[in-house]
Amino acid sequence: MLLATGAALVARELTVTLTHRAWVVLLQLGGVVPPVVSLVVWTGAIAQGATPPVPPDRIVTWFVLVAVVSMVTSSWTAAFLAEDIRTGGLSIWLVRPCPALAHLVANNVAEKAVKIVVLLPMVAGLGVVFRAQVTLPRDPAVWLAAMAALVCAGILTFALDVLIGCLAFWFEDVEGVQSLVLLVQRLLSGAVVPLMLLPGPVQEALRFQPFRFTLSFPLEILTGSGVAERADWLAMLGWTGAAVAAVMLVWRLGVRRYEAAGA
Amino acid sequence: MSGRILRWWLACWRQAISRDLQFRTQTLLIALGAVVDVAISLVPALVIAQTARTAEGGWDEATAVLVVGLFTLATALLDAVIGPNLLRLDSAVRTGELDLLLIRPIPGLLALTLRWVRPAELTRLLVGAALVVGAFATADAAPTLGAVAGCLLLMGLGTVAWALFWVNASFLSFWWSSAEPAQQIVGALREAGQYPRAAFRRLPLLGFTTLVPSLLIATLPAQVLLGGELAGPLVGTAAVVGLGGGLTAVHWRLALRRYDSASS
Repeated sequence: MLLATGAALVARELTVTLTHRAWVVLLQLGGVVPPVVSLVVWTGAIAQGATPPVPPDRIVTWFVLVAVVSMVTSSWTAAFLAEDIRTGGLSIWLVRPCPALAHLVANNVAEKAVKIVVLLPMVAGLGVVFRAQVTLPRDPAVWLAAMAALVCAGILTFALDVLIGCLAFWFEDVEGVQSLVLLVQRLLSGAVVPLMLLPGPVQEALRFQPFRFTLSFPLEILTGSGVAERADWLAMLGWTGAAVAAVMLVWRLGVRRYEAAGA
Repeated sequence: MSGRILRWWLACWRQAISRDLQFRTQTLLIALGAVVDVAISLVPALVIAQTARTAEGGWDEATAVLVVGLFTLATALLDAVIGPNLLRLDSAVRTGELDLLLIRPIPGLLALTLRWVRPAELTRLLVGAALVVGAFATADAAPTLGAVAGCLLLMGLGTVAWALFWVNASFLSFWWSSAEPAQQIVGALREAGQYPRAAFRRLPLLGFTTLVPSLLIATLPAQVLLGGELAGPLVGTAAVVGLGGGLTAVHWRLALRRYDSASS
């Protein structure tokens, strides 16, 4: 029953996403441009004699893959959830015979399925341009580990995003918090600059914070650190578990407080 | 005519400031976010500068901070004046809201690009100025008056060149109903302008100073401020502005012909 409902919701979201094909294409182009700019800057600096702390091939591989990892682990739920809570739109999902967050999960999965189809050829093109410096892992175990880290990162990002959206049960406007978290996340996840390029003590200080596991960790596995240490995996699983548990708790408390029209 | 435009624009500023004073928390958050954003944009520039310090091309942390400082000054103005209008353009074209701007007794293109202002973004002017001063203090140097004047002139022209590029990219909304993500692409391309000249090889340098003129915002002006040549970059930037202005005028005319307003 739950599986059929989930499949129906994903199918519905797929249809909606496919009606906005041009938007998806432009959006993915927007995801590829930042790493392209970084690639131009870094390869330019290296060509002029810059000596980064890690091999240049690893930096190039990072920037070629970052758009895909970033898209797969992204979440855009908070604003929509907050609006549903504020305007009472949540009510129709509370009375349906499926988990109230199911449609948000379905939206996340379906949109990513369409986006990946558009994004992969763009990233492959980028890989061809920089083929001499892109080094992908050959060991299937590394790919398996990266896939596992990607799934975990996706769940962690989604859970953190839902938590921000749930703040709307208590506050009227969560946009400020969302923007601030986004800024912090950009820096601490490695989206602005790969964490491996930061000074050693800073890297060590940032090693176990949650945002690293939303982007940097899967990329670190793919770009050369092999299967990461057990402590990193435990930290990622711990943060993901804690975030999902926090969502369940906050959701229960929030729904009790929910007072929109019809509640 | 120009008096009327000036009065209209002053009224726009008055209205924006009263709106900001009414929603004080929101304004404070925008200002705070703008400052944090500058701090974050310093990180990649500094990281690259650290690794390139010994490079033959020659650049250091002070140069990196100087470019980010100038970039912050220029983009603060762009985001306070042009940005709020271009970010709304897609929705204005789709919903027909643009009609309300076109019927005003001032040139349509001016109304379209200057109607909305966001004074809170100007907080970044202070941060940018502090970074420029800090960069010179770190390098234990002071620019000459001529270099400052040349830099400001080049930066003004470069900012206009980028504004024209941004306007044309935003006009995609007239041709394509899902052009909203174009703003994300423009924003990402603009980020190239916060790195020193030494980070670009010949081909990217050509592209980022002509077709996508992000290096004209701060990278080239920083070179002039550090004592580099002015004449060449000035002529080149003026040519980009001239061509961009002509292209924008033609594009605007074509876009208006294409526009199906809400009332048509």
